[in-house]
Amino acid sequence: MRGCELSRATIVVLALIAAFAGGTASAAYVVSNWLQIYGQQSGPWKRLSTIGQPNADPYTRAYNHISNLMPVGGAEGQIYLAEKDSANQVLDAACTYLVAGDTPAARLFTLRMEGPDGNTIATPAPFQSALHSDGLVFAGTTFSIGVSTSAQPGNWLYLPTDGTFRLILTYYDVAVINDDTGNSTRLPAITKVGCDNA
Amino acid sequence: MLKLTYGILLSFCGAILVHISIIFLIPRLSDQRVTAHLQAGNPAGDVVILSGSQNNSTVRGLDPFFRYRVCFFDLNDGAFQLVSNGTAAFFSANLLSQSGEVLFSITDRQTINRKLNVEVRALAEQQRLSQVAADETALASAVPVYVPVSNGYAIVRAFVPDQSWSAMTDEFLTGIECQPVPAGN
Repeated sequence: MRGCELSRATIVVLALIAAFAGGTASAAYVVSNWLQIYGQQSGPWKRLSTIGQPNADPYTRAYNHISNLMPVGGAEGQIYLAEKDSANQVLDAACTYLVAGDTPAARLFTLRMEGPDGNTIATPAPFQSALHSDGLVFAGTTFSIGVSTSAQPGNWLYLPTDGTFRLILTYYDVAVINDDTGNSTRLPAITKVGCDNA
Repeated sequence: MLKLTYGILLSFCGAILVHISIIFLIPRLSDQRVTAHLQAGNPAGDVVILSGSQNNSTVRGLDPFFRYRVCFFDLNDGAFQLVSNGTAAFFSANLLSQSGEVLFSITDRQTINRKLNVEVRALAEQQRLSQVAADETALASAVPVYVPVSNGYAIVRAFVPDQSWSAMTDEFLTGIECQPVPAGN
């Protein structure tokens, strides 16, 4: 009888340890992979603008607290992040990409690069780590930006790094001419042109 | 076999409980590092300006073409105003709770004459003001905002297309009056 009670107690203790470990690991996994699981996908872009919203779900709230992102209000704009190109390949600094699309329904937009750590990639002068729409050359109602370590014709975003990187596209003042959900926003395609090691 | 099933069931249910608890406790237990970092040593009304062109170790997601003015409000002392006479190539503002939830946002296109003039009051004041029908003249040129919190902070973003806009943008951001509304209004 005593052995039976001890056995049951052992099972309970082991089950509680497993519960604690499993619950903690699954929570950490979901929050740290929030972007892949909960980011609203639109082509290669994932929308981040639910971060900081009062009606955000508990996972988004948790991610907001650990990500330290500066929130953007719905009336201010929309933020999109791309870790892969339109062919679903991870963005690699050894490759040249073309970010091209129609003029967005926004007052202005910026395109910048982040490293895997989430920090904007620093560039040596005179290069800039980002471009904005007021400084772009448009072809009618469309634009294209070459993202590469080597010089590109037209709009060029210099990529000074190696390894993987992310692109952050921020539309400002979209609510004036757009719905606040961002559903009608047409996002540019990210096309791989070629790679140095190809 | 029964004990094993019992153990698996117990650990599964326990894991779900632990998972849910952690997800809900993160916003409550973790100090919101953005808020904490910005507020460190900066009481209500103080000027904090961040430049998106410089990597910030604590606050992420800053745009390199933007500069940011942050100020904190405490509605326990009454209404709070964000007023600026200057302007920038483009600016927007939002109000956030201490936990980092966006309560309100506006762009320069939605302001009067592209001048920032926002008056923040506690939600509880809305009913009192509507009953008294007062403050109409005071609020005529300001965008009245009622928020369901007593403490929080405001972020004003200003666009710097190139260096020629730098001085004007800094002047705009530092010139923003970010302070309690004088008594009587």
